[in-house]
Amino acid sequence: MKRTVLAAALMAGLALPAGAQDLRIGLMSTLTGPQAVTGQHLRDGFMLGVEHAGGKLGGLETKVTIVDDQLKPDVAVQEVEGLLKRDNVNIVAGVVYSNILMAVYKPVVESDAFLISANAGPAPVAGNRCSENFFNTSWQNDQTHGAVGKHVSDSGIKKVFLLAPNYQAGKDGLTGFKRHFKGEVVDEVYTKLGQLDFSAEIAKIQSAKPDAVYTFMPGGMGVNLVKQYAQAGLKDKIPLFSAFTVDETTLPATEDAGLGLFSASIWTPDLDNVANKRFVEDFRKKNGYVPSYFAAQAYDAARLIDAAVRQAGGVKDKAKLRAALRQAKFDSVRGAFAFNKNHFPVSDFYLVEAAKLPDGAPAMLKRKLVFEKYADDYAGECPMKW
Amino acid sequence: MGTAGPMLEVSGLQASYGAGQVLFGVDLRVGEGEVVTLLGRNGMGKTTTVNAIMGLLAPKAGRVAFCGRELTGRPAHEAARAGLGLVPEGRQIFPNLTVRENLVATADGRGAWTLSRVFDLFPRLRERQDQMGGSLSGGEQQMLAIGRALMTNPRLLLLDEATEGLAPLIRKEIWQVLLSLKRAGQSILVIDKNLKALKRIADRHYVLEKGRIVWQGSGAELEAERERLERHLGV
Amino acid sequence: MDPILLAVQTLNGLQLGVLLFLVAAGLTLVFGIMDFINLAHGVQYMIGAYFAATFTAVTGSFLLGAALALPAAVLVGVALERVVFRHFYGRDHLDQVLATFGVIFFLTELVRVIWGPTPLSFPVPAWASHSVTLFGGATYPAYRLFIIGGGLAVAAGLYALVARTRFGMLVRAGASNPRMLQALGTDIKRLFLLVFALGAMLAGFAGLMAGPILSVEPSMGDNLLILAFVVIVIGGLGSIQGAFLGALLVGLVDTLGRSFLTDAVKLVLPASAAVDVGPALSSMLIYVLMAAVLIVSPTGLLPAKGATR
Repeated sequence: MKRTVLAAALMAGLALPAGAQDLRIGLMSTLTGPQAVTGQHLRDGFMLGVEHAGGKLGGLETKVTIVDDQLKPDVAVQEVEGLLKRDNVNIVAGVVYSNILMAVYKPVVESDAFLISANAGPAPVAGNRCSENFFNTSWQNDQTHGAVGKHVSDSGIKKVFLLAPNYQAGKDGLTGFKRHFKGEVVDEVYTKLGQLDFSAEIAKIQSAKPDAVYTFMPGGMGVNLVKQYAQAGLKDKIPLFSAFTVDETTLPATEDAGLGLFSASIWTPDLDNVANKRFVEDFRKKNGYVPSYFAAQAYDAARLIDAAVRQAGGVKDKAKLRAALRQAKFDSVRGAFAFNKNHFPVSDFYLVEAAKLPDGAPAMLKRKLVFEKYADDYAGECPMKW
Repeated sequence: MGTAGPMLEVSGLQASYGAGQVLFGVDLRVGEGEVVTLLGRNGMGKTTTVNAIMGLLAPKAGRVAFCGRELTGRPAHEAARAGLGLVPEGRQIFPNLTVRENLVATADGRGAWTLSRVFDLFPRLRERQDQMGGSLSGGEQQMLAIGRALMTNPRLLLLDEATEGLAPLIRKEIWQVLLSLKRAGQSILVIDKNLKALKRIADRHYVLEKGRIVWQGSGAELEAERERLERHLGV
Repeated sequence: MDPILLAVQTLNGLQLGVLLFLVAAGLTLVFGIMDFINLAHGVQYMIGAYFAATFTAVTGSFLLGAALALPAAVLVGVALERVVFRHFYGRDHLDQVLATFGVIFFLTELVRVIWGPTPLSFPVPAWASHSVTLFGGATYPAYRLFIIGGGLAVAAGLYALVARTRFGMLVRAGASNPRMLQALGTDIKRLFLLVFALGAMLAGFAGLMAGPILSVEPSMGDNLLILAFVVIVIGGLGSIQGAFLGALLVGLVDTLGRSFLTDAVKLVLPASAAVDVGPALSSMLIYVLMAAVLIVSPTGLLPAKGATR
């Protein structure tokens, strides 16, 4: 179940003339458990990228081995060992969650393979633990929170109520928000990870009477919070801003309760560029649902690999391939794409709103630019030079 | 001896608890209208015999038939529904049910026994009918256990330790009730150590030792061999 | 302390307590009477929500959807009992834990295969989607009041069933001495099945009530199951009244702890430390409550009296 073999299978590989190269990629995603929907987006986005290259990234026969990390670091480490030793992959790509990335980071960057994160961007690997063998096609985690913080500040909101789950990413998220929010924090509440009923927190919000609420509640927690917030009649009274909470993976469940809520993102399905139009159209046709940023960033990862392998003339010369990856000469679905010194992209960040596409499907749509070419706050700590 | 054919027929019954075998082939019969005792010292297998008859313990070998029905290895509720009414060792009334509920919960409802008839037999239960079973004294609990078994309209009443641990006055009352039941034609298999009282109501006796029936006979025969049997009975 | 906030939080605690009771009631009956640890009980809750969401979407009516979901949830419970659980009665508790744990994995993945990994949409019925204005101008979602009312009504009905009917007598008798009950002519396996079906129905009912406010997703029962175990330990195994008392206690303590503990900690610690300490303390609060109850009364607050185990 865990292995999907695409394009050139082993048989085709055996038939290749001696000396010909093939490209072996391990795609790590979260495909079982409560958060499987995000992993499904990531996988489908990457595979569409491979398909758009005719099954041959960079012109090489490409074999993608998909593994499921189950959102368990120990499982992820085992799976990545298998990818490196058994499958001899050239690149490990994917990875939805930061704790998974931290678990597989060392084994991959110290091997012969590259690690390309299509989503997770924890602070250490953007800062002093950056690596010449690691690339990221999404963002550093704090950036999205910071973009919302800046927008909330810019729109003249003075008092906010902060809400996040009580774990590292929750605390980091609120710290990221506060870095760019200039007003007053009336209360900062941390809930148990996995909490599903927010009635007590909503009552506290009602009582605290803030100008706005900012939250980071990924997955099912966010679905519940958004629904309950609307049911309490607060949605129109106290605006609810969020990051990684309302998106194409949760909107099908929150439906109208989520519409009209604001967040920030580097990408939306309605971004106006040729690559994005083709991506969104083909993705919806193939998979039957609206892609999220998880899918878009993974698609970009596949396109990045395609361009770099082609430019480097294969995967044999690792230094050459690294140089090509750094140049990132491909048409990103977010428009312009460029890497910072720490191999994290410098992207534009938009204010996005949950709304309906012309055909009625809910999606996060671009409203305005918040940060132009926003470099993350940890790049300065990365000693890498190139 | 009893009247017609035997009501309860147990033959070659063997049973174990875990690795230790307790019964090594028990044969006994109870006829219609008979009162029969099962005597023997503690640990000789009396309660095990009762449990195996009731289906609370699956026998290793042998058979149990009741009113022509094969009960060997059948679950306990089938034995009860066939007409075996158990008054267990330790009484085992339901402590979290009221006295009335104890009587009604498992009542058969289709025979001669009604709540008021049981209350007539044991007036104290009528007084205490709304008390919790667990709040009764030992003697009252035994009355309740007997009443509870009667409410199932049993064709054969099985009493495991009829008066053990009860005050003399209560014992007397219980023996009196058993005698009146016998006069009304109730068949009874009773286990007790009070030989004097048993002799007054019982038709026949079985003596169990080390999992086998080692002696059986009438009250008169028991009296004749009393000294020899006292060793077994430990009275 | 703001009295309006306190009142609203008390309602929230009551609402959580009522849902917990519905799940815990089945769990405590099954455990008390059959001595059977059913970890898969939370799955029954999840299945109730899935059925209700699906049937509501098909029929367009919440009440009709609920009316169809209940028997469907009971059917799943009965099927599980006949196919799996029945073979584990009287077995070691560890065997039961392993078997029912396996059932959780199997059914959770099955649900994911059938309905997909995305949480299901299950809107609040239109007639209860407004907010009610309470004393002092505070607003409260009407649907949550509906949950409280519906849950209390079911609790009252369940109490009448257990306290006043012959079936209830057998259930209580079975909780204290199932072997004796069988020796008096009750087919204990049939009684077990009925109790199991009742438990499945209550959990399914809780699931369908909770569906519109929580996200309907495969793992939604997992968290609740742990709380339900805390409830039955506090209340006393096998006791319906105990489950009711325990559920309300846990619901109130958890909700009030979440809302006021951090503020209370701020009185003694600096705000930045309180933000760390408060949530940690409040998530432990119900376990502290459980430990305290066990120290004072090891068999719980209202044990099924004189249970022989």
